[in-house]
Amino acid sequence: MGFFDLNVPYTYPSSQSGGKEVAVVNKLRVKLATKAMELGYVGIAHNHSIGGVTMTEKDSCTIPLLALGSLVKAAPRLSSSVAFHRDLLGVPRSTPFRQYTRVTVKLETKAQCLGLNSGNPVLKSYDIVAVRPMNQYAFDQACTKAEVDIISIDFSNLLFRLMHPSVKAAIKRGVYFEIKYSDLLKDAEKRRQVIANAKLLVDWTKGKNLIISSGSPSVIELRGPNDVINLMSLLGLSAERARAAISKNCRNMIAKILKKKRFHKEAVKVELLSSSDDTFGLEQNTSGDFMKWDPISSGEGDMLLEDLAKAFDATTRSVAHKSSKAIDVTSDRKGLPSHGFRLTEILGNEPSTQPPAAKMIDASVHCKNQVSEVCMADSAWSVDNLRENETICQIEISEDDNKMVPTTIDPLRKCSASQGHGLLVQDQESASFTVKKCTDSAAASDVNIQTELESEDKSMSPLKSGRGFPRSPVEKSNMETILVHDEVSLDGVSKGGAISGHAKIEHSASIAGNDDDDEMKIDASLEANHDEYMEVTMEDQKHETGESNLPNLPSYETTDLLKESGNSLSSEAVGQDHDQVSMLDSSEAEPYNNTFEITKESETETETNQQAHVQTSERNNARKSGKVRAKRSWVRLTHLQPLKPFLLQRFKRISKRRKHRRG
Amino acid sequence: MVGFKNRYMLMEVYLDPDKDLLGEGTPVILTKLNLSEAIKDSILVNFGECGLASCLGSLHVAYVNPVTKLCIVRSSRDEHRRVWSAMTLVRSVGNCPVVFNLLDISGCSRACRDAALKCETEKFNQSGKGLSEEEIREMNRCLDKLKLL
Repeated sequence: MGFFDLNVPYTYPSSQSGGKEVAVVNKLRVKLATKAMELGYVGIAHNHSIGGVTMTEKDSCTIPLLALGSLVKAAPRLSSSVAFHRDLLGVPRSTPFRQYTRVTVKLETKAQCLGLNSGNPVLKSYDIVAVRPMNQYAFDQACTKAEVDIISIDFSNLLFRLMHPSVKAAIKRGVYFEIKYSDLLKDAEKRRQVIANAKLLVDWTKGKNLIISSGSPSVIELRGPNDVINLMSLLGLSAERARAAISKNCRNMIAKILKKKRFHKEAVKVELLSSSDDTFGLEQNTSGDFMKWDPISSGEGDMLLEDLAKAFDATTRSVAHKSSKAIDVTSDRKGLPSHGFRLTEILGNEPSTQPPAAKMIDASVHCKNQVSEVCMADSAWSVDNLRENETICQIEISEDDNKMVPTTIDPLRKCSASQGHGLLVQDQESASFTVKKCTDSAAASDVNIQTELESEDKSMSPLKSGRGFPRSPVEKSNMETILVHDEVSLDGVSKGGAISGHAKIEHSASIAGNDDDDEMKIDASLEANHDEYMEVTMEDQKHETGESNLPNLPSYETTDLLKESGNSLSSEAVGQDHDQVSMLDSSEAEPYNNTFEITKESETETETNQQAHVQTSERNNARKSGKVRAKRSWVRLTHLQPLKPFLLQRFKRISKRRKHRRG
Repeated sequence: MVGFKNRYMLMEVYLDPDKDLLGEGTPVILTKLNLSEAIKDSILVNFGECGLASCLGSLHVAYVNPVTKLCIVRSSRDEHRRVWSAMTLVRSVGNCPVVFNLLDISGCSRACRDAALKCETEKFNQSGKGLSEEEIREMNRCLDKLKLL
């Protein structure tokens, strides 16, 4: 597990100039990064502090990530030293050194607290968003409401009291607290205050949701990971928790943030490939990319040790080739016109170093150029292909100018022999969704949706793993239950939008994490919902059963639904429609489930019920709980059957009431 | 089984990391004396007289190499975290700002010696070309001492 230092100052509030932000000289930044790398860290975040009353456009991210060449110039023996320290720490030599951008907002007034929402374009331009609360109100707001990733408290000058409820609320929301150890190292007076104040936080968080970073504008206050871990014993943090705070927590946080930023509803991701690639030869390279996909790569600023060594060799041989091309791409990118192929040309002669990143940049640029209206023209897929490659689908989308864009969709689970079918839609927000549906009944629960909302000025991260991203089965089932939620509430209640959606997901995830019993109950009730819902939709659509293997059906229905959704304006609404579509398909994929409502033979009922619940229990990795649920909902359904017509009429009201009861 | 247990910490010392020291002479020559002085000062400041007194029984700078700037500090097992923290909090030796960085920690002198030898060779190879005759001689003397540890 690599170590991270998520606070390397780009600008920092200086005590000499009365809290005004001072920029770190470029030379010092290079030195800090070099030292961090040498000490064995595998990732740093360049921190930009904002102190003004209002955020303006010019506060958005302008931090240039450091290029490999400058590092090598600053420390010629860097690569061997890095390798030496990494070996001692047990970090693999091949781990790339990552750079992120981070903003720290000084939080004082109410208005500033309100500005910290997920729609803020300034904050969106950074990878990590942190706040530095300066008074009690700001701290409470940051803990309970504000859309931030890190709360960075200045322990050497604490202007408010830490409140236990606030801290607990922040942990529940998944906000991380930061402890800067540079204050510990400065002088005895500060050390006293930091230890006194931070001990309380450490005690309350118990090392959970805690990250430790340097935050020092000088190299002398940077320490190696082992020393930092030991230093935290002064704050009452045990060694393994401190180790987690400097490595695992940071990694989890980064993975979460990047997931939130680059995935729609943290689940759906879409990747566009440039039209210059050959259209049908995609399987081999993309599936390879998925295997390599990295949840914590920000897509740029990564540097590999071997590149470093190569660059060093280049400097020793001749001055002309002193920097490696792969890394200079990031700095060159800004000067380039927005044509994707230019970059590929640059990278063309050095494919082994950073091809995925280049491709991604390419793709995002390409995406910008695309016209907003996209209609689905053709969907080509072959069963043989899918079986072989484990259902990687190719869809072609014709644009206005009839240019064909090949898209590949989605990593798939290896073990499932599901057949996939995908389609890609782009709306006016340049957000693209891919919905991939498994139409095989055996893999019905594996409905795998990935979408990405692409931010325009960010290159996407390389998408390269077998499975979109690691997700626990519980989380997955939560996603699906939430989808059910959405469906139910769609009928009557208007949705709040993306934020509320995320909040809901997090909320139920936390419930599920807390208590197994709760989870089971929720699952059971939701499942009942699910069944009812299926019943209703099936009647609406006059769906014929037993067609689960027909490939054309889902696409046909989806196109219908897409046309409908074309009327709705907001991208969020489109997203919801997609959810609906996917839910529809998952329900279609269980034809037995649909029929058992209509057929009244009790034996088949039980049988199909069992089958359905075995699927759900697979989802939860708990067969036992599934059976319990099966029993429950079976009883429930028999009770409900006489009321069926009534139920159909009053479906909305019942779901509302249940929701109310649950709440 | 031994009743009294020690910890041997192999530390790396960065001298004046804020400045570039390429091709310059070192601003201070590390010796056992000034290192132990700095560590004891730090313990006194951070853990007080009692803390210093309890550490003092076993605290010993066993080995210093001024060329590669490695040193081995011995401490009793009960107090070694405290000593280690104090070393982390050291800011200067003499007038020169320093940073201590732990490379290896082990329970017996033999294991520590092996680790130290490995690190010494590694470090020596890293800075092998830029060393003068005098430094290489010093280096060899240190390695001999290390082997006797």
